[in-house]
Amino acid sequence: MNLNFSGAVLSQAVASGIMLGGLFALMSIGLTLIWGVMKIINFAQGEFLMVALYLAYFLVARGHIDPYITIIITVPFMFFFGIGIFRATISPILKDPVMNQIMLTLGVSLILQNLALMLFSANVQSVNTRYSTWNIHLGSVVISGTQLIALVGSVLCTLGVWYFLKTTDSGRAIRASAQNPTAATLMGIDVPRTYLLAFGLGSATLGLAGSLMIPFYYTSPTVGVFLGLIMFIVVVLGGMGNLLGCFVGGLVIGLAETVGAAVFPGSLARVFTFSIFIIFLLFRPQGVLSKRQT
Amino acid sequence: MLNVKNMVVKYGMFRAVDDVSIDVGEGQIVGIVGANGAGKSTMINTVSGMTKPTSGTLTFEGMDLTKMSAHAIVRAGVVQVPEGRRLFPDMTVYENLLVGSAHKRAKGERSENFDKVFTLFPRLKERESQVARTLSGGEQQMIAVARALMSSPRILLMDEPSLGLAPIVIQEIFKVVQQLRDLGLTILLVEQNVHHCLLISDYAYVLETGQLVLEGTGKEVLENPMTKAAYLGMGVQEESASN
Repeated sequence: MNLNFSGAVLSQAVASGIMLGGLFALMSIGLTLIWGVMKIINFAQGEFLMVALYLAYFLVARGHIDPYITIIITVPFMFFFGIGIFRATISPILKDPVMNQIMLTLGVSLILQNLALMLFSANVQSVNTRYSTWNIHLGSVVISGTQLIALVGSVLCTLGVWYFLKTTDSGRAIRASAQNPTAATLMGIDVPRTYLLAFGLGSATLGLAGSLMIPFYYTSPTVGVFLGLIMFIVVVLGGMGNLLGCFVGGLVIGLAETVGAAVFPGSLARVFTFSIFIIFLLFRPQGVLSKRQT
Repeated sequence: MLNVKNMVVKYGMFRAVDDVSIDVGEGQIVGIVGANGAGKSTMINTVSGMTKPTSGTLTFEGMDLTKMSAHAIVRAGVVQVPEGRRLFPDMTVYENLLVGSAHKRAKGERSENFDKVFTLFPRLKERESQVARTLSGGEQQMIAVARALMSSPRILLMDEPSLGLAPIVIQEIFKVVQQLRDLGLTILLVEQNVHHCLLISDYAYVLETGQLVLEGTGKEVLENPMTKAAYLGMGVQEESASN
């Protein structure tokens, strides 16, 4: 085995890992929020991101809109897309056994994947923008400008969602409904409506993720399969429902991916990532930042 | 103010509340007492809209509560202090109170309500930034009452506020209930703590396996030989005493 521990390679790997981690965290906020509030595991979350990526792709490639301006379209679109899916499919089975909910969201993910296949073909699509060649040099380390923006977006989104949950009446209503839905109802909160808002919000964060990713990522009908898997790892690692934990989980997995790729040859890198995940599952199943098991 | 007429609530074949009629007048404390399983909590949850009655009418100032959803009933001013307190455990005391006052009618009165609540419970003011689950049972009960008061109730439905509390705290809670009445609030109080409840009730009903067996002023019910025998352990048949 050809192990490579050169300092320059490693510092580049760490820098890229932080960028990638920020991206992973951004993708996963919605999943952790939706789980934290209504204990629904949305297996279609990866496909929601695929939808957001396609939307961003078409706006940039066909609409010739600056990728960062597409945010004003992708975020509200994904908000209402999430609400529509929730109303049509999840809302009616909120009180059903967990297995039914898993099957349902899995079904939604398959439908979305195949719809995308039918409408957009199996081709991998990506865009070239004026940002594509934008690199920032820090000594020997090169950071992609678009990935840096995604990292900043991730931090702002995490803080924004946290601030919303902490300081607004709607945010507190979401937290109250998560902690005790019966008591929330008895305090005059319309819990089903609050769930709808939380699901919409969780979906809207993917609109942001889609717009921030499209300058350096790609989209295809199955892009959500891998990204969805990453989301689950990040969310479990961070402690399900824990926003700041989600950010830390994203960084851990991002670093594992890039450092693993720098140190281990070829596809062994992925083994490294999943080994870290399994170690966490064995020794800290409640997540990195969670104090107690719920 | 609140009128319940011939209310029946069934769980499957079981009649939890069987043809019960009660009236709660403005500014009164009305007590409903009875043993565990008598249907007291079912009554209160039906008024709150958490359970729908099988038949009968349920009106609050002319509004048909059976046609309203639970959160709309709260917004109309019929607010419950639930059994077992049901706080938001991971929120601070202050946040719990904010959640209580988030609907439109209460929001406008938020600062007055904070003043009112902190005057009634100065201890909550000291603890406002503490996480609710770290407080004692008595303090948690105070939060539950305070949280309900924050939503500008016109009638307060209290479900076993003394449950699981130390005797000295129970005294305090019942004193608060009287204070609230003196401030002009209407209160429907459901209790297993029969003696205490009847002492402060302006009017009271005794519920047994879903049916009303006795009603009258708090004093009348308290002095009724049947109540004494069945609930206060003071009758001839000591062995049948419960609670």
